[in-house]
Amino acid sequence: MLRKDNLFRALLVMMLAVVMAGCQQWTRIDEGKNIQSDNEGTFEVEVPTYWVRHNFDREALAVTKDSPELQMARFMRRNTDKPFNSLEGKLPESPLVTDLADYYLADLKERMGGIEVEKLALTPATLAGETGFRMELRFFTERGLEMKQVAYGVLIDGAFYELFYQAPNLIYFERDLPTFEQMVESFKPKSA
Amino acid sequence: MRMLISLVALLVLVGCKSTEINSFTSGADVQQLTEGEDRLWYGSDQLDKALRKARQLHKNDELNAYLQQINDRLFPEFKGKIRVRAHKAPYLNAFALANGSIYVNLGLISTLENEAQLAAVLAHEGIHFVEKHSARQRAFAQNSAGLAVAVTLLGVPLAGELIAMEAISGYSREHELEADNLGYQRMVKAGYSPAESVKAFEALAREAKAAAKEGPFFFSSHPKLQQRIENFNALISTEDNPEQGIVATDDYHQRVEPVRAFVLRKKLDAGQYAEVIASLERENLEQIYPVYGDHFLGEALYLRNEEGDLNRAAEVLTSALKKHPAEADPHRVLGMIYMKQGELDSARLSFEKYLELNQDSERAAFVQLYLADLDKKIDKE
Repeated sequence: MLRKDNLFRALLVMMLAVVMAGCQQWTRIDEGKNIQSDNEGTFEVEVPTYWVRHNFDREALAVTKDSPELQMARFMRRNTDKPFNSLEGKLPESPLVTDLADYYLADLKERMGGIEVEKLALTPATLAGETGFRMELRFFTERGLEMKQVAYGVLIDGAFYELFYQAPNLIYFERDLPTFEQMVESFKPKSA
Repeated sequence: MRMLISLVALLVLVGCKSTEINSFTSGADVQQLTEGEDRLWYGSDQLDKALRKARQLHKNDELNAYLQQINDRLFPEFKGKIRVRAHKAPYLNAFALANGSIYVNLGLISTLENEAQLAAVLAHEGIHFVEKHSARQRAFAQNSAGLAVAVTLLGVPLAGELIAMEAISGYSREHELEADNLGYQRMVKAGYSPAESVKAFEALAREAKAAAKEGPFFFSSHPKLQQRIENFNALISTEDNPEQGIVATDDYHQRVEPVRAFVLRKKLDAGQYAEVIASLERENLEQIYPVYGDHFLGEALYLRNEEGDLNRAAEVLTSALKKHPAEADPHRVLGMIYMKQGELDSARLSFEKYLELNQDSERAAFVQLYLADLDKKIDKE
């Protein structure tokens, strides 16, 4: 027979288990559940089996294989009214792809605070049949670790989509970049 | 995160014993630190390392040697103890750490107009070190918001080195005024023109105003900018001939010129369009930015894209090309403006000219795409 304090503990553990199950931070992508979308269902991306999804990132579809520090792929549809904080107001009418790239870079720099982000390359890219850009960037942490990033951006039906990947240059960036590129190829906005 | 930083700062403050603090009188004094000062020194060393490892220092030996030379003239008795380095950031800021490290942002260096103005800034920062303002600072808790901004601006996690942070985000009003007054005396004693101290503030005021965003910028921190300008004016009024002394405008331009283009590009990349425009819409533009000033101004106007900006950008770039027709970038930006304004033939000519001058650039592939789009539109018409 359970003593009163043991019973209390057991109840507490059960309650915690229920609460934890209700707000699970990570979800493993199991076979057959590879097609994932953001919370609003504005796009779909095919995520590899056994990668995990970060559920607390409400604005985007964020996935990783080992941990966010080792590789992170993040896909999101930006707020249509104000996609870039670096701009005072709305996006100008009919922006060119290089405009988007410039505004995106400014926005990324602002989001990363004073970190010295260096743009390494900028090229045109095709995403879901539309012309966008692909940007390669890097920065160094305070411990001297080189981090590399790849960002795709495209404007589709007035909405800006960002497809972003970040990993340490040591081992992880090159290793998981092809997987990210496959996810980019699978990117499909719902309106398309 | 800000709450956490504030809390840690508060704990550090509570843990500090109140002891008498004596200013440094010469370089030899740095061997005699109290326990609390020793801790500040260690924290500053950690920040030095973090900045270096995060590649935030501008590696230009010539420029760094120039900064050091000016500082040694201002603080000869601290030669070898105060080390000045250029910090890559495009913001208007400079800061001194408790261990004698002084960092001057490239954004500030490029905005100043001569050596005397830079000397005014370095003298101010050197005084923070000599007078041990880090150790004297008693307002850590009040400074918590500033601490968070400082962490963001430097881009390195500094929770372990909070004791160094007030240096970056601005000291108390009293310490800033003391640094202004004693720094001014150092500057005059070193032979620099006193009048340049206030001109430095005025030159920076233009951009600080344009920056619009709150930040721990050297010239917008405590006390308020206008009060500091008035304070310098009061100091200058005691001089018989405030214009007399070293100014060194030409030498400064020559040494700083490569930094200016670098800073303008970084500001554009960071979306600081209003600041770039404020820097470049000036009467003596060609003296300070001989070739590329107009190009950056045109590009900043194009990207800001407020009412009338596109037309103004087109005017600026057209005029720039009359002076320097072999520059490629103005053709590219002009092409984009014409494209948006529906002047398809002009856009085409501009893009073709750009590719002729700069076909290997990273933007060339985009320009080729734009040309293909133009061809389709022209065919339709």
